Amino acid sequence: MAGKQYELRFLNLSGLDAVEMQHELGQAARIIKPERPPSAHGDLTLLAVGVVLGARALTAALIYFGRARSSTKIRLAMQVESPDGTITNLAIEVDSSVEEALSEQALKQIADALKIKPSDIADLE
Amino acid sequence: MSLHFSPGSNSASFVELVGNVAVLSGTKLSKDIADIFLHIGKFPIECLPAVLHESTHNYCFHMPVGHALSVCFLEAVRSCLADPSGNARDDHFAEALIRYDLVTEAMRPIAEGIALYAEFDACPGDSRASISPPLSDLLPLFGGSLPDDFLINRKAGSAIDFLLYMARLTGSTTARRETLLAMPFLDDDDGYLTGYWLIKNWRLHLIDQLGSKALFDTDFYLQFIANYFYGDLTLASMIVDFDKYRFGNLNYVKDGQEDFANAFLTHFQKRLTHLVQGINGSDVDRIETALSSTSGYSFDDVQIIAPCDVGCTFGQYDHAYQKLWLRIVNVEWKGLGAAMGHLLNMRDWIAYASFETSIRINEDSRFFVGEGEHACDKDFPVIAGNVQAVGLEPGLRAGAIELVRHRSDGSLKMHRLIWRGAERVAVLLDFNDINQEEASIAASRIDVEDARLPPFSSVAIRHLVNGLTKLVRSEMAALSVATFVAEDCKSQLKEIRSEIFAMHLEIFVSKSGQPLSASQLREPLLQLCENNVIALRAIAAAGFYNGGMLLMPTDVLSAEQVKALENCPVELIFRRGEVICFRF
Repeated sequence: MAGKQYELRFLNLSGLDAVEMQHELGQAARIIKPERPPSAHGDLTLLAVGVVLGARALTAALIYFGRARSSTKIRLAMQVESPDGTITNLAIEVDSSVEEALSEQALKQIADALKIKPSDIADLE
Repeated sequence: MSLHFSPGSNSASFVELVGNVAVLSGTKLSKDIADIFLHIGKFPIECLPAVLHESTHNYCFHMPVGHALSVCFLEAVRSCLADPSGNARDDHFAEALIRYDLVTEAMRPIAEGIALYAEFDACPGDSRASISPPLSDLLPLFGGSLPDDFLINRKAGSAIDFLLYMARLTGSTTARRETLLAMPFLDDDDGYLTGYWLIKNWRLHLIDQLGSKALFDTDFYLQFIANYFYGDLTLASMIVDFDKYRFGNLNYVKDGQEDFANAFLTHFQKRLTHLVQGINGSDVDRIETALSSTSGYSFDDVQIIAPCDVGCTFGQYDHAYQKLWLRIVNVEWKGLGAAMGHLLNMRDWIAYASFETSIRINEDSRFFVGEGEHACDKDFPVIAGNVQAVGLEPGLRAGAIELVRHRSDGSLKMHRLIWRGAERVAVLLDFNDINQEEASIAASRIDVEDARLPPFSSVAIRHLVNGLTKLVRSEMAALSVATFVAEDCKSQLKEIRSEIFAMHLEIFVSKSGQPLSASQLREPLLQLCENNVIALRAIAAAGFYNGGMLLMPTDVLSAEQVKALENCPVELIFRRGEVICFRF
């Protein structure tokens, strides 16, 4: 991650989900594999997909996660790495029955957790 | 450093082979630290898949091939520290390290395949074999998640079965299987899909060939296959024999000696082929009988020797092992010999939980855990108890608290160890004993000075292995010829490993009725399946039921999913009579 960008990470994805999500978000999205020492024998765990935080990425991601749901609500656990390297874990909940766009709802909650203004991150992509 | 990564970080669990130390990760571990240590059977059930995976690695590496690899690595350390400098020392040191790397990397897909098989498929079954150590440990770790009174009138096997299904059906198993399906068959460095596909399909193949009833027991098969590869005394003996086997690219191979790389790769290939073509029903019966003994079994009883192989007894292997062991423990440099001896002995233990914390001892020989600034101190209530060791000075120091078990102890008891630095402060079977009167806990009391207990904490062992690894790797990097040979060996092995495994995968992977070429096996499976994601998700969700053999797949899959599986160009399922067998 470089410059002033915030990286948004969607956590606990299966390999098939991660590949599909990367496809939806475009090649700028990266699949993050778990860390372990180079020669150790270890388990697979789940993956994360990282993408530069912004309205476009959030919209694509929320459409992806919303597809398979019967409820109007989408609840997501995510992680944001700030430009200074700080990592914030958060959970957001958006509701498609609300008039406000899903990405706007998500941006507000993320900005709130990061203690910044939504406008500071909306156009960073 | 704690043996658990910090909450929220994206980290995997793993086992480090040399010390056989397991490191479990997961946010739940830190959150539930009090439950893990203060109660019996209250390990968070979400951690079960990772526990089973790492416990299986530890179980395999506790067999002769694992011990041989560990002592081979430490022989490199010994040579590096104690042999007089010169070409002979450089070559011997490099040979030991390359030998360790060569065998470890060649067998990595097998190691991962066995661990994934345990994680996804193994369940106690109807064979005469005892329940495997990784599955047996589930009861003392997770038994608290069973419904009340579940164990009344039920055998341990059915309780473990219940725990496994609860974890596999409600946890992350399907998602973890989908992660595996997003990988290519070949050229993934860890060989996850290679190994799992082979381990799973070898069983179906052996059932087809031999019709052996015992092989329907997935937990028996886990032990059978683990012993076949990691209990292989011929290979173990080869790894520790520096008289007969030399590394031809570094040392002159004299008459009567053999080149290690050639001998190992020939043996390994022969062994893989023998598994598919040469095993007979009496081998399986003999191993089932050996594994049924409640007092353990000897590795001599579970050997399967391929034709043209000389074979090796445990005594012969142990003779060569002890020779290296003696040389290693006699290293005088800063007491490292003794430490390496302890490290080798400690490979018999597994730490299921290990957290760094602060330990204070007061003037009245009472200890206090969790008063300090370590991350886990925030989640762990401060507890106090009587110091059991004699002569410990009062004071606050960094320490660790661990939940450990001896692999060969049939009692399934977990020990809770409290360490202050290298001092073993107390050892308890149950934390509830901590403030009881001496007399009332005498029956379950363990002697803290018992020489059979681990001499160091797992945290200390991991520090030691990390230090030794840095030492030998940097020493190796300074040797130009050896580095060149090691790099060459690594790239050749990568190619050879792919060729060997491609040959074996060909038997079990086909597309539109044709076996896949090595280049096709390098493509992601999703691509090979022509993006039939429904089929892959279906097999991820259903292939672990009943060892991957189902009479009625529609019991667990929708008609659409069954159709997607049947129509997938890559053969993911096949029929044997009325039974649908899942290749994954």
